Amino acid sequence: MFWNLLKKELREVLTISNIIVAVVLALVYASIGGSVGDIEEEASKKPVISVVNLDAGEYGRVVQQSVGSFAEVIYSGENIEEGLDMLKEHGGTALLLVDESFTNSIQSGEKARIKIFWLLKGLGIMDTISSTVFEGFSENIEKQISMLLMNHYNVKNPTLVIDPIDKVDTTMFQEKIFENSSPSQLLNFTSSQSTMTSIVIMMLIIMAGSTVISSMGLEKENKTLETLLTMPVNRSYIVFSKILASAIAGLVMASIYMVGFNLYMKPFTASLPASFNLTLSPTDYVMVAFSLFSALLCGITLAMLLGVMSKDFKSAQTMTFPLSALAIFSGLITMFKDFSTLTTPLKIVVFAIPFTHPMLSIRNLLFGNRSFVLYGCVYNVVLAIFLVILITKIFSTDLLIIGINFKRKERVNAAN
Amino acid sequence: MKAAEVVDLKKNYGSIQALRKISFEIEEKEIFGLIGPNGAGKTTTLRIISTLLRPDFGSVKVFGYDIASTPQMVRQFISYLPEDAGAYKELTGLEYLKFIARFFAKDQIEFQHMTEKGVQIAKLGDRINSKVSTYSKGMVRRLLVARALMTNPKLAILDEPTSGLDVLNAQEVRKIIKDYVRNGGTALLSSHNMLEVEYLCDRIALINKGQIIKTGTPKQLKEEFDAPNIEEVFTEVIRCSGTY
Repeated sequence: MFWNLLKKELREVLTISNIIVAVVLALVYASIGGSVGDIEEEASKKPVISVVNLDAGEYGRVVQQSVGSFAEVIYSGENIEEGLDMLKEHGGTALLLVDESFTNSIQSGEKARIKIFWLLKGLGIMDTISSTVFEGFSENIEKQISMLLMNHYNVKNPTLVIDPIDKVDTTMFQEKIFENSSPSQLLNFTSSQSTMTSIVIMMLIIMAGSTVISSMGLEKENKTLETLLTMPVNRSYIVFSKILASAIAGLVMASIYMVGFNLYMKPFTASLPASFNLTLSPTDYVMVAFSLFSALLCGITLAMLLGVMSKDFKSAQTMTFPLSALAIFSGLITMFKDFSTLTTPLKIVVFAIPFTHPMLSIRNLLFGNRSFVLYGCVYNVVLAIFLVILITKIFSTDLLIIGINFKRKERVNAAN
Repeated sequence: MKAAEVVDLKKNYGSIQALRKISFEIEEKEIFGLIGPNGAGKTTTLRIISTLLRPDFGSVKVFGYDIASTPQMVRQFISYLPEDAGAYKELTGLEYLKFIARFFAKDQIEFQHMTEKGVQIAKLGDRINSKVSTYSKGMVRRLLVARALMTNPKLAILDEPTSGLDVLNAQEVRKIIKDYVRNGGTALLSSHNMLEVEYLCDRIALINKGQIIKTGTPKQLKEEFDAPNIEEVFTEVIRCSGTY
């Protein structure tokens, strides 16, 4: 009987149209990712530039020589118009204009001027990468000229004058010491590991939750639930079949989304140093999976509880909001603040939200904080069991049929 | 044995009394009709007998089994058809019938028989293999009536079985119910269509504001109130009982 119910539930929640929508959205994500291209690849490319050097002096030559190692020079001459035309033609980044008085100014103790004409193609991140790369060149030029000047003025150790401090970062976090790592490097590393998990959790909860709430709303609207409840079938089977079917549907849909989302995120994910020695063991992966599954169960049972309160499909749609809000709240707060730095009341609230635990699981396991993940799993399992018992009890009461309504008149009308 | 015995049944929704101590009995192999206006308490009564709602007071026995203490037993030989019900839209008509038959059939042969009977009652032709979402209202209702009767229930509880149907479909559904009782079944139905009840039912109970005002055969009631039809009997009964 359970398989009969499960099969029916799967047919209802995993429809062809639902899968097509998920696949189309995944393709949209993937195509956006594809069109953006690979940021790292783009950043490693030499910027295409034109150089108009009107200075025949020593320092003008320095600029001319060093520019070749930084960029692909497509024009080198004395005509600005020609340089700009070549730049436009080749889709270049900038035109570098070295004043005719460049060397004279430096030699006479005045500031020299290099004028850069930027050819901006767009205001997107990808459009401005080559200009960002070229900005690094101007800093380098300054250093080279400073070195030359210091040599000229017989400064003993020009390298030390230019870069007198060697900054060495050591970051301490949760009783671990990370040599040669700044907090921002550590944050980048952990974020790359846990952000994706948070997004997967949010998608999973929202997908599976809305599926089960809609299913309950439809059952009530079509009165198919009334029919089912008068069948000689254990009511806990009805509850379990709905939970399991929604969990399967949620996993399938989230997997489809994540394939697309992964392709979308790929260009934005910069490679990170692997010097932190922070890795997950097979046991850790099992704990992450269990944490994820327990949160999914909680999400579905919570959704079912909300679905019980709905009267029809339309009212069921509004019931998805509290669930999505909880998932988003949990995702955002753990993204901006570490759990350990939250105030006690906020800690209690965040811990009580079952979706927090898988979102924080990878971060905690990376730093060897297994007990937090374990407590989270235990809490989620206890909560899910409590909710299943509560829902099964509600399935045996009048509440499921007459609904939870505080307006007497509506209740009577609903019953008659 | 009585098909159903309802004794002093009470049901409240908050401070509103939906049923006020109603009592009636249904004999085996009869069609018993509960008739009354909207909000009279018909659906609440049917839902209690179908084990969907719990009574606040009184008792209901279906073929000797108490609905409060042995609901699972009662569910084995009843079949409930709610008013304006639908079927699972992602299933075909045939898949829906098979889905229901699996809850009742003890073996493959019985399952096969039930499904065939369902297809026969529904009379949907090739459309039985189409998705329910493509059915008209009349087709869905025929499918649901077939679902309710194919499992050979000892008591079929039908809430407004012809509600919202056109003349031809309503006539077809009435014929199906008559055939089912002729073959040994018992039916309890509710309706606010007095003429339909007069045609279908062996006995009727007039209900208004949660109270049974009168019970009897259509012929007895018409004679008692010297009325040409049940509609006029109902008007007269309500006027005399002071429940209007």
